[in-house]
Amino acid sequence: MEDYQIVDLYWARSESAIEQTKTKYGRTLTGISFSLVSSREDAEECVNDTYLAAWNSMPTERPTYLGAFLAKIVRRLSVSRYRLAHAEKRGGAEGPVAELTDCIPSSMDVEKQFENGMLTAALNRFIEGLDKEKRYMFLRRYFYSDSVSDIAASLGAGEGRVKTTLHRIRLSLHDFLEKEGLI
Amino acid sequence: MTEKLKKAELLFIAIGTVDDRFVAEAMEPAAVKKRPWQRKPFAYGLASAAAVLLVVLSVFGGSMLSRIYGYMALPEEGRSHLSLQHALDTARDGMTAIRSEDIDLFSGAQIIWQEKDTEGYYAVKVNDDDVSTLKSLTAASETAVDPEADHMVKLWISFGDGTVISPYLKENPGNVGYGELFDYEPEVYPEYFCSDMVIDLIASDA
Repeated sequence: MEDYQIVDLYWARSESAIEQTKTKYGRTLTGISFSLVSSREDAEECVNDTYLAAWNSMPTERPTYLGAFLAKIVRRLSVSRYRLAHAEKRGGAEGPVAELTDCIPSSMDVEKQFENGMLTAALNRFIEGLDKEKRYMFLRRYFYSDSVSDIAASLGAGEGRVKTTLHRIRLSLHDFLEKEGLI
Repeated sequence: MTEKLKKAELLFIAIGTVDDRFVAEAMEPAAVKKRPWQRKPFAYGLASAAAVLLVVLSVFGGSMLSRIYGYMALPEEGRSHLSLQHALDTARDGMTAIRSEDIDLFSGAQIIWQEKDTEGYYAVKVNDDDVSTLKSLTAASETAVDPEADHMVKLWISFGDGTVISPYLKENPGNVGYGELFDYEPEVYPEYFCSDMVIDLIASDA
C-alpha cells in the first residue's frame, strides 16, 4: 500500500492504518530501535509507542514521507529510552555517538544551537551538499545507527572505505559548523 | 560523561530532526555500484594486458626481460600452486609480528602485510634483483583497482626508497587506509605473473 493511502487510513481513524504501517514499516522501525536500545523487548515497546504517536498526530499531520516520519519518532523514543537506561552509568559512549565527538568545534554551544533550531538547519544544509553515496553513509550511520559492516555490505563496498569516508565526512561537518559560525 | 560526549549526544539527537526527505532517501536500499571493470571486464582486461606488454617490450630488455618472461610465460596449468593465504601461513611460522612504526621504509626492499583482524605486521626482505623485477611488473600495472572489495590481508611492497605500492592480488584486493600510515602510491592491479612472484617471494622466505 502506498504511503498516502496509509495516511488516509489514519485520517479516517481506521484501525487498519496501524496494521498497514506494521506490514510496511514494522521491521525497519524495530531495526532502528534495536540498534539503539539493544533489547528486543524495549525495541518492541518503542515501536508500539511509535504507532500510538502516529495515531495521535494524524490528523492533524499529513506526512509526505511516512517512513521517515515514523523513523524519526521511533528514533527519538529509542534515544530517550537509551539515555534513561544509561543515565546512571555514563562514562563513555560507543559507536556513532562517540564518533561524532570529531565533528563539534570546541567553542560550540550545541544545546543552544539545537534549541533555537540553528543546528538542524545547518545539518540540513550540510547533508544537502553531500553527494548521494556520502549522504547515504552519513544517514545510515548517524541516523539509523547501522554498523559500518552493514553499510559496507549494502553498498557492496569494503569496510575500510566506509570508515575512511565517514571519517572525512565528520571532518567536513566540523569545518562546516565552524564556518557557519555556530558557536 | 565528558562535556565532549554530551555535545556529541546532542548532535546525534539533532541528526534525528533532519529533513524527512533525507531520511526517506536513506531508507531505500543503496544502489550497489558496479566498478568500470565489472561493467566492461573484457575491455579492461585487454587494455591492461596491452599496457603491460607495451611497457615491458619498450622499456626493459636483457636479463630483466627474461626474468619477467619467466613469470609471464607460465602456462595456466603449470602455474602455481600456492595461494596467497598458504604462502602467508607458511611464512608466518617462526616470524614475530612487528608494529607499523618499527617498519623502516628506507632500509631495503620488503613485502609487508597485515592480516585481517590482527594488530601486527609481518615483513620479508626482497633482494635487489627481485626489486627490479617487481618494479617493472608493477610499473606496467593498471592503477584503478577496486578499493571497496573486502580483504583478508593488507599487503604492501616497499622498495626501500620510501616508495610503497599496494598491489591488487587475487586474494588480496588492495588495501584501504594505507595512506594514513605511510607515504603512499595508489593500489595497482598487476597481472597474475606479478601476483605469482609476490606469493613466491613470501613463500620462499619461510
